[in-house]
Amino acid sequence: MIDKSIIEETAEVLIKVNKVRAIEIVKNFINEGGNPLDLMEEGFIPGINATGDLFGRGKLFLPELIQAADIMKEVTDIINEALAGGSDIKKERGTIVVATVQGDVHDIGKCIVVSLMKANGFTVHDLGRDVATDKIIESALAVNADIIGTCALLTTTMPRQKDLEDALKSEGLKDRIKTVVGGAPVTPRWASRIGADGYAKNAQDGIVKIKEFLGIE
Amino acid sequence: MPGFRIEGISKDKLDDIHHATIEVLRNPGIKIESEEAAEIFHGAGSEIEKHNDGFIVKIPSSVVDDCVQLAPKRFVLYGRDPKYDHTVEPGSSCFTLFGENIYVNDPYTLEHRICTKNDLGVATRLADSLGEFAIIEKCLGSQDKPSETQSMHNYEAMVSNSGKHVLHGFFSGRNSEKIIEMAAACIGGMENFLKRPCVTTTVCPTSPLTLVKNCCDVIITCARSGVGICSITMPLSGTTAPATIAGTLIVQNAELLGSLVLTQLTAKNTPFIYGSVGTIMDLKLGSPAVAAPECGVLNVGTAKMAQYYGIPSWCGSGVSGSKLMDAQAAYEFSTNTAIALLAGSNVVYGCGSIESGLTFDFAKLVLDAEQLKQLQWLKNGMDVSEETMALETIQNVGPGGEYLTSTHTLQHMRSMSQSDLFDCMERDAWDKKTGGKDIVERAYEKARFHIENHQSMSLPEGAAETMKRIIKECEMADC
Ligand code: B12
Repeated sequence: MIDKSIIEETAEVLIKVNKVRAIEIVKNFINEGGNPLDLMEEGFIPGINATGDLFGRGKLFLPELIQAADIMKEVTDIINEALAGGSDIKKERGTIVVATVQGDVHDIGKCIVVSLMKANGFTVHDLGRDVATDKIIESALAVNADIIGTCALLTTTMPRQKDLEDALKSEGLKDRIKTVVGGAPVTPRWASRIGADGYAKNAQDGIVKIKEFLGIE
Repeated sequence: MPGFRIEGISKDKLDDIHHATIEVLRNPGIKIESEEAAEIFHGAGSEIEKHNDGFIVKIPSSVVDDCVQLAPKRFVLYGRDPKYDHTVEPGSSCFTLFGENIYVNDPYTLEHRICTKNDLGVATRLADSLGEFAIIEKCLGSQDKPSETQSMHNYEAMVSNSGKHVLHGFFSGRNSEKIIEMAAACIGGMENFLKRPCVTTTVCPTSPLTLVKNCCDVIITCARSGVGICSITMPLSGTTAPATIAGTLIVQNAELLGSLVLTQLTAKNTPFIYGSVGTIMDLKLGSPAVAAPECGVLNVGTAKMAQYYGIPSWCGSGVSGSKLMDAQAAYEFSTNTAIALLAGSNVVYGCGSIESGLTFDFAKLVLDAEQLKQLQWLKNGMDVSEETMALETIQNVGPGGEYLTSTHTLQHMRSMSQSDLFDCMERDAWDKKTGGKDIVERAYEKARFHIENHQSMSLPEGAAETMKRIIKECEMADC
């Protein structure tokens, strides 16, 4: 059992985006012989969930959430290093490839989604904007992705999300890789029509869908 | 009449913004994702450097200065019908619709649904009938048509329902060529079109500091064909631009000057409009705050920078975040539109739209037009002259008299402001005239009346067939 005050402080450093202190906590904890996985499970993961929750309720600003995600990443790296070859935390949470589809340069929403995914401890490969369907699939295979998330902000580029579904089907990858679609003009109806596994109305909702896919609480 | 104006920003502060922008254009420069465009910049003395999928272009201040000089201060946005010609010049203003929404509130059933090419035609006909709109902008997209040719279908729907000048995003170099061909067919051939280009394209820089390939291709194709460019940037403070308005103004200025330079280097004296629909990103919600006060303040910056350079400006202002045509939509439209207009924006954009630019509402367009009438009146301000001071009349009427029967009143009453839907009748008269209906309901009725009864200028013979053929050829050839 980890000291309650440490658990409380891990949540606080994330919410208050105090990176220096976050690193100190981890290093001290490891130096004192604690199991860093416990610190992750009992401290940082509930902490980042609380951060995401506060953002969802309009109590935190997006840049704070993104910085919290950055702290999470740093802390995860330190812990992974300490475990050296043991169980790697990141991989357990799932790998996601995210892109804005071809012909579309809108990427603000996608960047927010990527930040929030990182904040939730997922391994995310952001392919950028205006990305061709083949390239998305190729990258997903290369990193052995569990999920592909695509963003389309134009009604004229939404068909690229359908192309992706069709390509995944014809290459027999549908049962291996789940898909989630988003973007202002995208609707749940569109998602089910093209055969996407999920629709996300915003970044927070995206996390909910991803956790569902991966069977995380 | 000089009219009312917002000064807003002092000359030395505008100098500061300009100089900072020149610094940005030198370092880090702007990213250009088109080789042809990069070569045009290079040929005129800009440093270029390969960068991932494009080029970094560093534009020297002398090139900026020269190109600003080349951009015309005054030009005509030609209608198909000459009675709709609108001159853009210092002090002039006009209004246009928001584009492009993807949903429409059906004017008959009020159902909220995806829009079609037919809806765009109907909405354009309504805008054609409303005198407050000097030009037409694509307010809806032809969602029932293939993506690749959608912008051609959009143009066809608009030009068939209005004789006014059309502002329209051509989207790609290929589509630009085709739409120019279509426009020429609608105004009696290419020769006539070159004399009276009845369409202007819109292009969008991508904040921060990027001109993507399609944006460059459209600028180059249109400038070469004598079609004007309205460059509209959409920085969102806190995400694609600094969180402060001055910083955002610098980022957008660099993007707009970059597109202006490309336009003028491609073809000297091409009409260029300096536009922005920037606003802040709501960093708690993660969505653009389309009607925030910052949008109004940024619009003043946009108009003032354009005036600083002596080029026409275009400000996006009237869109509302509301999902309904309600009090929020009315307040938001009025505040930011008034500010943009008083700052001297030459084109004030954003009418007819709710849901942050996703839904077009017919009642909103009608009510926006009604409010524009009042705002234009406000902007015209107060004329102080011997005639308007009415000294002699005041002396003649004297204490305790009345002005109702004076000749002066007879001479001036017709120029007093009037409203159509906005109401100030006494209750019984109001009840009788409106049946106690809400103004939104009455606005839908007015919209339906115009849709059913307005006759827009017909197309010249053969034009409809030519347009159909051009679109069909593209769709067959998959070009
Ligand atoms: C900013 C903006 C631009 C910028 C983009 C800058 C950038 N770096 O992204 C610029 C100026 C470049 C631009 C250009 C254009 N734009 Co634009 N743009 C917008 C605007 C105003 C905001 C988009 C935005 O960033 N929203 C904020 C983010 C946070 O929201 P979001 O993207 O929806 O993402 C959230 C959710 O949808 C979800 N989500 C999104 N993706 C994903 C993916 C996954 C995996 C998940 C889980 C969730 C998820 O989570 C996000 C966070 O909560 C919208 C208007 C609007 N109301 O959406 C128009 C809009 C999208 N643009 C539009 C248009 C027409 C264009 C242009 C064609 C204009 C032109 N005439 O040239 C060009 C097209 C360029 C191109 N080829 O892509 C139209 C689209 C209409 C249509 N037919 O579909 C819109 C709707 C505006 C309008 N009504 O006219 N645009």
